[in-house]
Amino acid sequence: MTPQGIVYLSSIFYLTGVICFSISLNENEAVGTILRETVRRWIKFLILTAIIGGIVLLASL
Amino acid sequence: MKAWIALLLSWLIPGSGFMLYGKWARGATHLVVIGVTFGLGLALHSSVAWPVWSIRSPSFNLINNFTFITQMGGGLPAIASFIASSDPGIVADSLLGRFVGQPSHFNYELGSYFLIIAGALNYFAVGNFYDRFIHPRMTLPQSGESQTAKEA
Repeated sequence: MTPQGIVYLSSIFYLTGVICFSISLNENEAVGTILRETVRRWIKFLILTAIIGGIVLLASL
Repeated sequence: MKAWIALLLSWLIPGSGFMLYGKWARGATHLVVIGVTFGLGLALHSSVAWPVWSIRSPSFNLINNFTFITQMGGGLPAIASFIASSDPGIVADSLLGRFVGQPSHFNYELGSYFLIIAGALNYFAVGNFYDRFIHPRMTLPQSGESQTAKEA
């Protein structure tokens, strides 16, 4: 993988994570709940992103 | 303090509204998360740029207008970046010079996403601050409550 690819992949992980964390922070009070909800959302978000990425890859072949 | 001043402060300095109402940890978390995201956008050589607003202009692009509105959610750093990118020559030697982007840089567009996310997260934070302290019409559902309600 090229350095630019690593930057893009890292950005996906960071941005999806920060969005999920922020939403969970707004909706919950307890630290444990916030972290649990963040991880739950993050996994869903990453799976959805991977599916969209796969579709785009197939469409571009 | 008047509600509109608290809301304005909350927009200018992410998380400051929560801090004003004694929720220091929540406010500081918002400040760090939004600040770091905005900072990464700047580090990727991006900036908040003024779009073309005239629909008759050939260079009009609605996406750029929405991008600008969302990026401005970042508050003071977004304003600084906007001012700096408006006239990079004047601010080059000052602190504002650090907020100047390089549109020709290959990471400019990627950095722009970071600025968009930072702005959007601050809009969410301001909205959440409003819901919790300015006009708390309803209680926020706690995790698991909706599931319990469905099961019941």
